[in-house]
Amino acid sequence: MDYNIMPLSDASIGDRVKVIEIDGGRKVTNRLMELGIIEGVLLDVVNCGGGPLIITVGNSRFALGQGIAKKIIVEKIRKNVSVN
Amino acid sequence: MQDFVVALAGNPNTGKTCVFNNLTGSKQQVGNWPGVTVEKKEGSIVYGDRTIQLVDLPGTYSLGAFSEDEVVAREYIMSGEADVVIDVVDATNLRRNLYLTLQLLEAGADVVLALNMMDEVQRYNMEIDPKKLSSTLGVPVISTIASKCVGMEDIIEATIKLSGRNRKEKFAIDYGQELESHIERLVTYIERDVKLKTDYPSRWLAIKLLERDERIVAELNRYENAREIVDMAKDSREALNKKLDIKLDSYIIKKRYEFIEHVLDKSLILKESSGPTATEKIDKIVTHRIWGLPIFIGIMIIVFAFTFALGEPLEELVGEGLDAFGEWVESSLMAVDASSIFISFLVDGVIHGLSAVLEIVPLLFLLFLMIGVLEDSGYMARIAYIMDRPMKAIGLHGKAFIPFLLGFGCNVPAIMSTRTLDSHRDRMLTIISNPFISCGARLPVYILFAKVFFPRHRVFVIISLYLIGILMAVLTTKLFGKKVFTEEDTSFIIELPPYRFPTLRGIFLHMWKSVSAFLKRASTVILSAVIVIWFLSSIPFGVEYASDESVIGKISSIIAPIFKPAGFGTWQATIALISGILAKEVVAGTLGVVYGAGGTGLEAVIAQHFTPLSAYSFMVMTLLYAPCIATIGAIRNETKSRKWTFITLAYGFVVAWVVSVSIYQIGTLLGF
Repeated sequence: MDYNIMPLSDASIGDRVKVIEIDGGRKVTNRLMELGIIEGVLLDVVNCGGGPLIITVGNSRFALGQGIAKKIIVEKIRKNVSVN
Repeated sequence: MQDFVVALAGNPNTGKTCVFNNLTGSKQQVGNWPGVTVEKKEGSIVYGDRTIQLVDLPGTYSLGAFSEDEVVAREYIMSGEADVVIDVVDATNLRRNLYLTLQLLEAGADVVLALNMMDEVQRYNMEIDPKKLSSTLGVPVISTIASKCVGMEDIIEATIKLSGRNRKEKFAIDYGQELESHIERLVTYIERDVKLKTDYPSRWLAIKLLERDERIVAELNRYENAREIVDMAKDSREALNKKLDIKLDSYIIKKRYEFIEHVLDKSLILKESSGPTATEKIDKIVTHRIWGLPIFIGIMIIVFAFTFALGEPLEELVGEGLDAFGEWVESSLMAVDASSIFISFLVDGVIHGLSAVLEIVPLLFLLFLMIGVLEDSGYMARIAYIMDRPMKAIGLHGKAFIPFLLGFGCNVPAIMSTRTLDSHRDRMLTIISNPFISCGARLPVYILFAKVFFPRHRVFVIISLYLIGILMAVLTTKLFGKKVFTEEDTSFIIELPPYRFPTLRGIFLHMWKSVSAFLKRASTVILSAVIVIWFLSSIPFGVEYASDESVIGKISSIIAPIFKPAGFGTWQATIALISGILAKEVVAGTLGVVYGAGGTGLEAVIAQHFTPLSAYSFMVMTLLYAPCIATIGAIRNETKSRKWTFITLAYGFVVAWVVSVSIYQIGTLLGF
């Protein structure tokens, strides 16, 4: 089922997602990739809700604006695990 | 032994600046938010019989050309000035940090890898094998804990060892058959051009051309025969883009990450992650989508309340001390029959001029200290996150808020910090509006006037000035964002570093830095300004000191009518504003000189020359009218445009005049 494929901006707190594709302009795409946000990488959504999201990649935390989050296509692989 | 040059490179938040401080013993400021080192800083290491020049480059994630600080770092590396590059990596974030390492190696740098924060590796349930890392990357790897000064000597020794060696083997990543054939072809052509071949590592240049690096393409325009190579690279790109299933630049980055994975496979063991870290727990609260903003506002209130509550009594103490000192000097000199000119010079000029400025020192300490704590703790990056949504309303993103915040300390570092913003538009908007943010140097004027005219509402009056400054900055951003720089940048990304306890050492470094910078200014620019003003107030000789018959009185009287509608068309106020362009602290200092009084004496004189309304109007003028020389220089440097520097100045003055005049005229109408 394709329900699990969505832009990162639609993910909720506690989701673990896998990056499928980055569908942005050259500049944004390259910047994200340089930060380690590349295809196949797992992201944990730590914070979201209208404004920018906070995600973790490995041991790094990033805040991403909505504009960018819309361009990162992800697959949800774990739902809403409670983050303490 | 021959000296050599070493560059320090690394991602932001890797403890790079801390390594720099340890190695050089310098009082360099360390911050915990992306982009503290916006310009390269230099220091030297004396080790045994060797002296090593150390250059601290801005922290960058890559050597691309996205933001100005990356360009600074890259150009330095490519200049070949550094014999060795120490690459400081955060051991807990190896994957991302090694990306920069690869770029350094591809650029042909001789790298020593400082594997920093090794003490935190265990906490993240990881294990790193530095030996294997070293053998797979082919560079010396040193484990360090910069915050505890561990491994610093090892770095120096590895650096010295590497500097004496000529590396034969060139580092190369295998980009796969498809790409390699194109790289090879480009390299062949590049190497035919003697000039290109000597100026650039050929393989690196070929890859940059395939990545379509705009700066490099622009640079190549300077070479006669490069056109052909640029065109050839373009054809290669088109061919490859058709063949590959993803864009060529993405493909190249992916290949680099594949290489990193290969390196990490051998040297990194990851166990299942442990429970939530302290950073996660704190972020849960302070970046909460409802509570985040009120918490931030609360913190800012505490910051300013603390600064003023503690600073004001100290300020009064210093003021009284300086008053007493001035009186003592005057009476002692009179007792020994010193010439009256000399007494006037020392007391009216130097002491009165400087005391209005020096009084503010304790307040400035505290203000910079608080900003320092915000930086060192890691909260600054969270502020960018929290402010992203409010900043949207003025067409900027959260990262652009940081220069505004730093502006409350000083506009110069604030304007320099805009280099970390990726888009030209955001930089220009932030730079143009930054001078309206009330820096610490404007405080002496507020404090002086608020004390005399609004003794019971001092705090309220000062807050209102800060708010007027913020309002003007917001309106300016909106205006220029709508009319001039219209293309909005929606790409907000910022790293949120782990929280760290600001160390006592870090706090002292902040204190030292602000004190020394301020005292340096006071002893140079401000002191010379007050002396010149004293001199101009005293000639032609025989004229009554600082009267309208003096040279300064005559010149200023010509300009003064401009300020008449704002309520302070006196030549004394005018000269104070003019000299304030040297440094904003001078405004208060000049008043001290031209009224020939300091401390409480000055307060009494001012009370005669201003009304509460004209005093308020004067404070607003001081807030808005023009940035100081140092800030103007920063604007010129960062915009790289004389036109925009001029526009910023002219616009600022018009805004200041209109606002001050409106306040005075409306106030008069209302009967204040």
